[in-house]
Amino acid sequence: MSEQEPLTTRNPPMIIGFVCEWAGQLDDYLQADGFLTVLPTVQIVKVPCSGYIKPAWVQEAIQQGWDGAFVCGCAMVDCHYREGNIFLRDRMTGDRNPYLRLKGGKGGRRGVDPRQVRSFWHAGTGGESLIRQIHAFAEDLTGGSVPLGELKPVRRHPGPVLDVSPLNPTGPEPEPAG
Amino acid sequence: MNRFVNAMWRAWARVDTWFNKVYPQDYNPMYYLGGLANLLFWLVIGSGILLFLYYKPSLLHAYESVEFLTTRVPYGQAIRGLHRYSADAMVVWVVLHFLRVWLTDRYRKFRTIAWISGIVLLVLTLTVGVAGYLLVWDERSLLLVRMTQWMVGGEQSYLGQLLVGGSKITDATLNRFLFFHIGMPFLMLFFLWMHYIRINRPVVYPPAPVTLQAFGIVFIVCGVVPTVSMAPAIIEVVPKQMQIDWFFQWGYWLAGVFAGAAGANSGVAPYVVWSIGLLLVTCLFFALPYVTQTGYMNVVKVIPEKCTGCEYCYVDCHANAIKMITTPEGINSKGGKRSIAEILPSRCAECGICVGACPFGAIELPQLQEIEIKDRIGLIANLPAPEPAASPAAD
Repeated sequence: MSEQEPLTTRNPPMIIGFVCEWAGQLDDYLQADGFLTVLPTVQIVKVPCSGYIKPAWVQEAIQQGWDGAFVCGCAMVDCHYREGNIFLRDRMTGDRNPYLRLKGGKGGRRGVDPRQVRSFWHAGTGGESLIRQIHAFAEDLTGGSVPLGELKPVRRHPGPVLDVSPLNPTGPEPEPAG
Repeated sequence: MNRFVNAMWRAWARVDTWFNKVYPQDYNPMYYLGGLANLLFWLVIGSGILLFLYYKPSLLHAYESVEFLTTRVPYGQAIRGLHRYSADAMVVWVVLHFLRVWLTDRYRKFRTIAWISGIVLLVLTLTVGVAGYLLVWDERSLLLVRMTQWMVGGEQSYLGQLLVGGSKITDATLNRFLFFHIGMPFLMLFFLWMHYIRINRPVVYPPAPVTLQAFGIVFIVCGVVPTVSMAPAIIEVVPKQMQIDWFFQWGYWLAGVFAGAAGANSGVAPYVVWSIGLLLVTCLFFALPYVTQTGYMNVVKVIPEKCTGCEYCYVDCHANAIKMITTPEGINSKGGKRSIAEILPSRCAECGICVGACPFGAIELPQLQEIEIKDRIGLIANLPAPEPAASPAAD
């Protein structure tokens, strides 16, 4: 592996990420269409728990032409729903059904290239640090440097639930524009 | 309130991250607070049985038997220290477990039963611990009895007599305390069962490295700080002060402060003040999951035509919210005789773990269906393809 061939010629690369709402707090960085503000080619799909993610989606994304795909969950053992991240970890490595088909692994020739897939596990806040990891992933995919916008620290409780209370059942009001 | 919880949660997340720098994620003790508390509970019970073999519950012999056990019985000092310090450690882990569950928002909805039983367990733990201090029958025990009697309305009040079994302290009093100290853990076992009942695969014990570390710390403290009694109790002489064990006896200190602050000026009886305070705090924590209840808006739905009865979701569900039922026709979508999944809505966590487990797409979250995810994946088709000129140049 002296000279790693870049996996894509697109720069910045198109990446899709499935992110647990409790692990990655990217709300401050999200555009309306789901792309990040600081890395405009990274699409973020928020899911309630990393255990919800189907490995088939990762495979489908790569086959449809995304350059890379990643999943993000809470730190091992600390899953908000107790075991979701352990299940996903085992599915990504092929130890649990339904598993991700990896080239060279259980997936044979039809699987995806392991270099195009990555898993991130975050304890507590995964805002700024998660974006740095995505950025490193993007640079590994292209083999060159990828521009990154300005980061700011995250200041919100994870997950969607605490914003909703009996007094305010629909969640916080959207801030008025301007 | 939300702002306070947010701030506390951020502080907690920072502690977690700091611990993760020292420990591997799988062995971070902050992720096994409940398991460690349960482990220490069994350590306390084990050492307690050994102590019970030597204990004599009578006014004349109680202090003597504890001293005999400590000084003459081989390893008696160590066993007594183990009982004392693992109980202290248990209180620490129980309180940390309580705070963590509260501040990381893991007490509501499908976890309500675990939360309520957990509050009861916390109160029982403290009560059993205080009852243990009464058994030694030294000056501290006597002072604690007198303080408790003062708190419930005086020596001659109904509750005060109920506590010691009559208007005077007799041998029966110590038997009564022994029953409190040994009987209540059985009640705790019942509430522990309730605590675990809704959880699939509860983490009751931490993994071996965390267990060994916890044992090691308790044993080292046993050796470094030996447990000693105060002077033996003389019923007529009520001692004026004692060493407070801050793990168990902070309640007495707090009651004194409250009663002094509120009762001194207004002439209200002290026990009225602290009992109302205790009731309020307990009711507040009992009510917490109901006050912050948000309703079940996103309970998963089974699509019976697609379900093959493979039981993947049934196995993976962490809240026991899925049960397998026999279909009315007696067959499932594959023509087999096995059952299909059914959701119990009040137990559903709305997390979607069962969706991830289903290889057939037979279970869906109503507010985030698979078709929406597929749409997001399909966005790639509208975006520019890789530049053709660049691809040969890459080789």
